[in-house]
Amino acid sequence: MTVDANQPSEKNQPHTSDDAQTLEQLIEKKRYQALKALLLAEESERLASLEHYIHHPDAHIEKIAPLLAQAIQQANLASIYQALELNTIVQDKIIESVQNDTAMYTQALYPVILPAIKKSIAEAFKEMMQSLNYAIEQGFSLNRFAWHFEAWRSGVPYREVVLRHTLSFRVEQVFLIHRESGLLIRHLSSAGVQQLRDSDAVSAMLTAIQDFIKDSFSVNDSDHLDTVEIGDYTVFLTRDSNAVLACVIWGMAPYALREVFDNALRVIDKNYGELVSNFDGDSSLLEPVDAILHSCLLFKDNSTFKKKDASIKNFAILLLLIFVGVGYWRYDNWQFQQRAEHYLQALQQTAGVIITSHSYDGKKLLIKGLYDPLTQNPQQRSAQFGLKPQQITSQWQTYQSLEPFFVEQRLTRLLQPPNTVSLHVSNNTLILAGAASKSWLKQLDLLPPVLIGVDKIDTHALKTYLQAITELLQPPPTVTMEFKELNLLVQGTASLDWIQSLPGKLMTLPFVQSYDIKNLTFSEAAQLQQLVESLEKTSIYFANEQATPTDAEQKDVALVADTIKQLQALSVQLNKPVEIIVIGQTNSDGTIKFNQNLAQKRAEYMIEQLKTHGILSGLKTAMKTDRKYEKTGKELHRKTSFKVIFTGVDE
Amino acid sequence: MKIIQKKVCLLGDFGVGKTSLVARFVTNAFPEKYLTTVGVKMDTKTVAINDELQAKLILWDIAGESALNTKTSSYLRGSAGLIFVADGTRENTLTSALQLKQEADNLLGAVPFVLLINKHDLIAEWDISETVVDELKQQGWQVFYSSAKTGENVEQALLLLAQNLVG
Ligand SMILES: Nc1nc2c(ncn2[C@@H]2O[C@H](COP(=O)(O)OP(=O)(O)OP(=O)(O)O)[C@@H](O)[C@H]2O)c(=O)[nH]1
Ligand SMILES: [Mg+2]
Repeated sequence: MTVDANQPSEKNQPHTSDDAQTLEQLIEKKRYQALKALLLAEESERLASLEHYIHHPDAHIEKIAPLLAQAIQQANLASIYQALELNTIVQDKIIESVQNDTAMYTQALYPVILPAIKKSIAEAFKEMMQSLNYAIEQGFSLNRFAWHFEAWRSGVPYREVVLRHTLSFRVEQVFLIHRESGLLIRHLSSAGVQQLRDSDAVSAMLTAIQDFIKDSFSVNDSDHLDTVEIGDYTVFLTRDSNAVLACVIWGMAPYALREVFDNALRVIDKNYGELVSNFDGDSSLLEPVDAILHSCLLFKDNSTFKKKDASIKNFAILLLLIFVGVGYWRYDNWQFQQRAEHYLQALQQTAGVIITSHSYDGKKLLIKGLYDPLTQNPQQRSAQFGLKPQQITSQWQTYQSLEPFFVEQRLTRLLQPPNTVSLHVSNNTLILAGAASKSWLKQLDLLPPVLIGVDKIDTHALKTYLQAITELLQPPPTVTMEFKELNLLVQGTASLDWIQSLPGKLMTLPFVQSYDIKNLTFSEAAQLQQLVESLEKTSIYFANEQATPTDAEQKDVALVADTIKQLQALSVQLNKPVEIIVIGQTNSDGTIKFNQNLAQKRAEYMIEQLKTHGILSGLKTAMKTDRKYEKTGKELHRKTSFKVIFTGVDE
Repeated sequence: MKIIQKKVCLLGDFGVGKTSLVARFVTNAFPEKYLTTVGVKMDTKTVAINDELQAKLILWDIAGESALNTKTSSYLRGSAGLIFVADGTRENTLTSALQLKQEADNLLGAVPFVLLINKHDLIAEWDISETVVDELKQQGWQVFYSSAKTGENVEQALLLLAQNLVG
């Protein structure tokens, strides 16, 4: 401890007044002056002339002015400031005028200070987080297991995983981007980092993102996108008028890196500014820039990080922490209020939640209200808004909301309608529409409307499954249907068209899981069967020993021809090929040979006749001669008859 | 071998096939499904101009719109060339393309460009008259009937543009 030499003497001796000088002292003074005059005569003269200089500045202004001008020209303002001790003067003036008009200065400085404060807080936070993370990592040796797991899962060698985790940051990629076009001028990545698939597209994308952010969010022209965070990566963007430098950093990116990047960009601008500004897509011209960009590929691992941490002056840390502490407390409080307000607002906008009262108690939100159990419990939602359980005291009671949405939800739970039934509530009426099983419909009849909170149940648009099916299929009266356990059984006869349309139509009915049409026959098939039967019953009769039928029988030939035509047409439609055998017959009179001949003729005659009616194919002849001697009814054997044979493979 | 990069923007109304054209040009694929582009999407393709020179086109596929807005205009900055795309089955998309061309001119000045009238495979639904196209051609426009689906004229148009950009 050093002490001013005057101080103890003043303290020890009682204070004496100025005019009470001793004789001794006067003599001493005189001698001193004489000595001074003798020794410093020359200097006194010079001093006097200098004094003149100072007391009459106007007379010498021409001499000083050029000197000042010269000094200013040399732009050595700092030294002028120093020489003239302007610093203190300006400072004093500023302080004075700030004191006089604080408001004006606040207004002027606000835009400068606010971002600076924001930045410094953000930075301090980041730094704090860094040290916290570090502490956590160090204290938690279980991490090693986690790293092993990560290595195993991701297939990255364990060593690299450890490296990653013990690095506090690593600048992995550097993009120098032409500002106007977004073209990539140069791109470097640190050793061992996976090469990008298409760094040009990334560069363009980064530019577009900046434009997008600027257009969407920026208030004034000097706002720019500074930082992009993607998972473990941070992209720092710095820019000058020609270029953007984007650096991709893995890990905790210290804000100080920005200075490194800013500086690199300045150096590039200084040395290659012209080339960059005239960049025309040929990056090879700017290859020398790589050396500068290389200096941006920095990394730092935790061990050195820790050492450096310790070497930071404790005092500065303390100050910072206090500042951060105060800032944090205020920020935290503000943030809590914001979150709480958002939370309240969201609850107020949620149907089925009624807030009956809310208030704040310090850093605690007190909230009372009702909620319908069909919505999410409001208590559980608080976490989505970043609120911690201890920040909220709430008393929630459940109630049943009468809003249609909730009534509908409750009724849906109660009635459990199949998904083919729609359920709506409007004007206190439950409106049900769609198709359902009989048993489900039956339970509805047992429900008094009041019991489920509505005045009326409107079921006029409600059908049984079978009704819905019937409405859709419109079956002919010859068909019967049954619907059991989601299986549709269709029986009877129907037209081919109708049967063929069945699967398509049934597909539109979600509740029909299967159908059975085994016992459904085409009505065309039945018709065919009928025609066969009627044809086989028909005979054309002949007079004795005649090969042409009686006149009366001629008109029957036309009828037969007609039947055969229909039959053949149907057989084609149903894909059931037929052959019609025309059987010539005789009675037993006469010789066998004669009768055979006659029978043949009768059949052939018939075929000729049918030909004239347009039946040209599908006919065959056969003979039949009755051997048994008939006593009566001989005329009944003089005829041709018909037999239909199905020739298809499946018959 | 020298590589010159050039920024090229695609402009045109929505659904005209900008993204599909880029896909055809870059990966020679044609995804049928229509997924509208949000914002902007980048792709690159290098084309050989001659033995010593390659052009690397940085293609900015911008969300379709009938006129520029502040966002799309900022994407245009620094564009060395432009591709205007219209849909031959919708006449109004050609009007949009002409409108966009005018607005781009105001922003960038004259830069090399081509006009693609796309979906030429859908000739049955064609909606654009020959006379309009002839008129544009007479004004010196490079107009191509293209199809991202069949690949018709896609490569030709982009190669021509690339040559105009670096030649
Ligand atoms: N037939 C046919 N269809 C095409 C062609 N080009 C595109 N399409 C179809 O048209 C639709 C729109 O194509 P996109 O390429 O997404 O159109 P876009 O211009 O990028 O649309 P936005 O991104 O909304 O502006 C898609 O369904 C494409 O499959 C073509 O040449 N022929
Ligand atoms: Mg698109």
